[in-house]
Amino acid sequence: MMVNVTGVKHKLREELHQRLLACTNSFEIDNFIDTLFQTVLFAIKTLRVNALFKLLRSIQYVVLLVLLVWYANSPLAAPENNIQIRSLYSEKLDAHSSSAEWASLTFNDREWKSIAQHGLPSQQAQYWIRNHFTVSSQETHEQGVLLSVLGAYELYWDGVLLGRNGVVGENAQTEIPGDIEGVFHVPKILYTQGPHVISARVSSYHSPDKLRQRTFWILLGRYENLINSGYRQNLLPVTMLGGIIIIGLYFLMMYFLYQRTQQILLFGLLCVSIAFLLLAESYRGLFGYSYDWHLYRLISVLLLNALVAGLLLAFFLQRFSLSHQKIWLGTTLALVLLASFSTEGYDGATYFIFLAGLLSSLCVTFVAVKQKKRDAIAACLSLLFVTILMLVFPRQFMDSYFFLCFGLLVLFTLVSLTLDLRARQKQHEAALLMSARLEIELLKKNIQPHFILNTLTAIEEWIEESPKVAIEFIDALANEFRVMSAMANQKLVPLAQELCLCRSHLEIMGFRTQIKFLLNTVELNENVMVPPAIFHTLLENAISHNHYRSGSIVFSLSLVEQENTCVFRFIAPLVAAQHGEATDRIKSEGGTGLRYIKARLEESFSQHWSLHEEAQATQWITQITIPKLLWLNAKVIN
Amino acid sequence: MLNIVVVEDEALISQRLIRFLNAELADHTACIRHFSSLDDAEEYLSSHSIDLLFLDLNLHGQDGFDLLKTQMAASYHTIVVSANTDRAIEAFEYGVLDFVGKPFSQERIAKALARALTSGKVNTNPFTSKSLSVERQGRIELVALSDIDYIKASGHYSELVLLDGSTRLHNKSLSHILDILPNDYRQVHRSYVVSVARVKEMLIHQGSQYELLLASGSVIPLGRTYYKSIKNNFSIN
Repeated sequence: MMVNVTGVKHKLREELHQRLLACTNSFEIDNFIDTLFQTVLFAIKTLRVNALFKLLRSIQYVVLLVLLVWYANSPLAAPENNIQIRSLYSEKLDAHSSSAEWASLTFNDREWKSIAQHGLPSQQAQYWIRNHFTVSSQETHEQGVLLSVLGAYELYWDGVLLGRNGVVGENAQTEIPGDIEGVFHVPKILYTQGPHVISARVSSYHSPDKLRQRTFWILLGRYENLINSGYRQNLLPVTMLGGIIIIGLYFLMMYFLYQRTQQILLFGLLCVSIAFLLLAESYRGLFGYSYDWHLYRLISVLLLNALVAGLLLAFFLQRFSLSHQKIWLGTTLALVLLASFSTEGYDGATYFIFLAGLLSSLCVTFVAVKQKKRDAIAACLSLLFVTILMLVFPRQFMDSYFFLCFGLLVLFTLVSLTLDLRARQKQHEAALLMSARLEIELLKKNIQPHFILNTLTAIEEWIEESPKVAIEFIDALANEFRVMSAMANQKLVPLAQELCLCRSHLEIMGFRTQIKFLLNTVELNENVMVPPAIFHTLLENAISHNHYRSGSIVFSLSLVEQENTCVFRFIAPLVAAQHGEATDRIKSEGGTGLRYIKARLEESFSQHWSLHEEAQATQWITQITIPKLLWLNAKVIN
Repeated sequence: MLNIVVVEDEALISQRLIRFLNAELADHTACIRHFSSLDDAEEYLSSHSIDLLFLDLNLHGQDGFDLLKTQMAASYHTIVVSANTDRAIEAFEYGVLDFVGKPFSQERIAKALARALTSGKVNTNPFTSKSLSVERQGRIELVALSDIDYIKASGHYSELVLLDGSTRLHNKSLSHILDILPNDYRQVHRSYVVSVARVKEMLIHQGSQYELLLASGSVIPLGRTYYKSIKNNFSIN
C-alpha cells in the first residue's frame, strides 16, 4: 500500500517538474536580464537614488526567483540524458550462461522488467541491468557512461567490458563494494551510430536492509563533463558553505566572547548546521564513497536536516521572542515524527521533515508579523519564498535550491541581526549616558540654586539671630554633602548608607522648617542593596509636596524580604486638607523625583522591579519591589 | 496704614523678611501678614484689600509662574522674592514691580519697599511687562501690550482699550499700571495713558485744547500739564 502511494507521489512530482521546465525553457533569460538592466539604467538616470533602492527592494524577490530558476536549469546543475535510455533488469541468473552472452546486444531480454530511478530490487542480490538506446549522431568529443547503483558491478558496452566498479561477488564475503558513482570511458570504436546496449552485472550484498529504495542512475555524455559533474554541481554549494561556516563561527564567537543571548547562539548553530548539511549533501559529488556508506550519508543528511529545521524554528521563536515556545516546538516535533514514520525512503523523510520545520517557522514568523515585530515581514517573506520553492520544485529543492534559499535566508537574518546589534550598542551607549546623567542629577540635588540659595538665606538669618544654630545647621549640611558625594558614582549602595543620607536630610529639613521629622525604620536588614538616594528622593517629594505645618512628622520605611526579592514600603503622612491636591499634583507631574527613582531602578534592575503608589486617607504609600542583593554579594560582583 | 502680605514657605526666610520689613517700616503704621502657602494667602486676599505682596515663586515644589499671572491682575503690586534669579526677566514681563533674589540683605528689601511706596513716579525698571493680566469672567486673560490702543482711568480701576475696540477692566489704578509698563508709556492726561510710539499726530485746537491722534485713528485728549513733555518727546523723535 505504502509503496503505491510513494509511486504516485513520484509520478506527480515528475509531471510537475517537466511542466515547469517547459515553461522556463521557453522563457528567454538573457533578454529578460537585458531588459532589466535597461530599466535599472533608466531608473538611475531619471529617478532619485532613493526611488531606485525602493524599486530594487520591491523586485528583489522576483530577481532572486529568476536567478534560482535560471540556476536550476543551467548546465551547472545536474546534466540530463539527451539520449533516451530504456533500462531493464532481471533477477533470473543462469549459472551456465556466460557474461558475454548476457551482455551482448542481441541477448533476448523481452521478459525483463522495465525499471525507473528507484526500481531496483530491494533485497541483497546479484542481478543484471540492460540499458537499450540508439546513437543517432557521431560525437567528436570523447564519450563516457556514468552509472550510479548501490552495488559492485561490471559494465559492458554491447558485450565489451568497459570497466569494473568494485568486485562483483556471490555473497557479502566475496563482493568488494564499488564507489557510489562510476564513470567509464567509451572508446570511439564502440561509439557508433545505431542501437546499443549497456549492460551491468551487479551484486548488492553490502547494501543495508534499511535502505529499501535503491537508486539507479545512468548517464551518457561527454566523458569530461561526466568526470567533472560532481565538482560542477557542488561548486556553488561549496562556495556558500565557506561563507556560511564563517558567519556561523563568527556568531558563535560573538556568543562566547561578547554577548550571551540565545538568538545569537541559535543563529551561530543554525549556520554551522547548514554548513554541515551542505557538506553532507555535496560529499557524494566531491569525494565519493563506496556504496555501502550511502546509508550513513543519507542518515546524516536526514539528521542534519532535522537539526536545521529545529534550529530554524527555535531561532525564529527566540528572535521574535514569542510566547508558547514549547507548544511550537512540540507541535513541530510531532509533525517531524509523523513525517519520518509515514514516508518511504530517506529522501522523502528528509524532504518532509524539512518541510515541517519550514512550515512551522513560517507560522512563527507570520505570528511575529501580526504582532508587528521588527523585521518579521522580511523573515516571513523569505520563508514563504523558500516554502513555495520547496513545494513547487520538490525534487530539485534539496539538490539545487536548498543552499541558495538558505544563503538568502541567512543573508536577510544577518542583516536584521546586525541592525539589532547596532540598536543594542546604541542602547548600551544610552545606558552609559543615563548613568552619567543620573549621577549628575544626584549631585545637582545639593547644588541646585533653589536649594542652595534658600539654605544660604536661612544661614544668614541664623548668623544674625542665633549663631550657634547656624553652626549646627552647617554641620548637618556638611554631613549630607559627605554622604551624598560618597554614593554619587555608585549604582547600588547598602541600605545603611541610604538611611544615613535620609536621616541627615531630615535633620536639615527640620532646621529649615522647624518641624521635627522622623524616619521610622523597623528591623530593617541594612545590608540589602538599593540604588542611591531613592528613599531620600521619596522623602524630599513628601516634604515638598505636602504642607506639613508643625509638630512632628513621622515617615516609615519597612522591608519584607523574600527569597529573591525585597519589598520596601515607604509611608508618608498626607496632610488632610491637602490630600486631594497632593495626590493630583504627584499624579499629574509624574514628578522629576519619581522619574529619577524609576530611572535608577531601571538602570540597576532593568525591568525586574516595580513601583506602586497609593494614597490612603492619611497616608501616601510607595511600594518598591527589587531583586534581593546583599552587600557582600554585590561587592563580589563589583 | 500699609497692608503687606508675605507668602513664603520657609520659616527662616519669612522670619528674616518680616524682620527687615518691620525695621524699614518703623515710621509707618504697617500690618504684615505671613502665609506659608498661596491657598491660605488667596483666601485672605479675597476678602481683604492690601497694598503690597511679597511672593516666593517656589512654594512646596510648585512652579510659581502660573500663580504669578493671577497676582498680576490684582490691584496691588507684587514683589517676587525668589532664588530663581534666572527667571527675573520673565517675571518682569508678567508685570511684577520688583524681583528680589535670595539671599537678600536689608538694603535690598529697603530698595524694593521704596519702589513700592513711591509708586506713580518714573519707571526705573530695566525690564518691564510685555502684557497685562486681567480678570475676565472669573478667568485670567493675558493682554499683550501690542494689542492695547490706550489706557483710560475708570474710577479706582483702569480700562484697557484694545485695537479691536473692545475694553478690559484692570484692577490696578492708572498710576500702578504705569509703574509696570515700559518707559514709552506716558500719562498724557489725568485719565489717559498711551505709548508715545502709538501717537501719530498732535492736534492743536483753539483755546489751548490739545488732542492726540493715534496710529489706530483714535483721538484722545492731551492734558495741558502733560503737553510740554509730550511735545519735547516729539521734537526729539
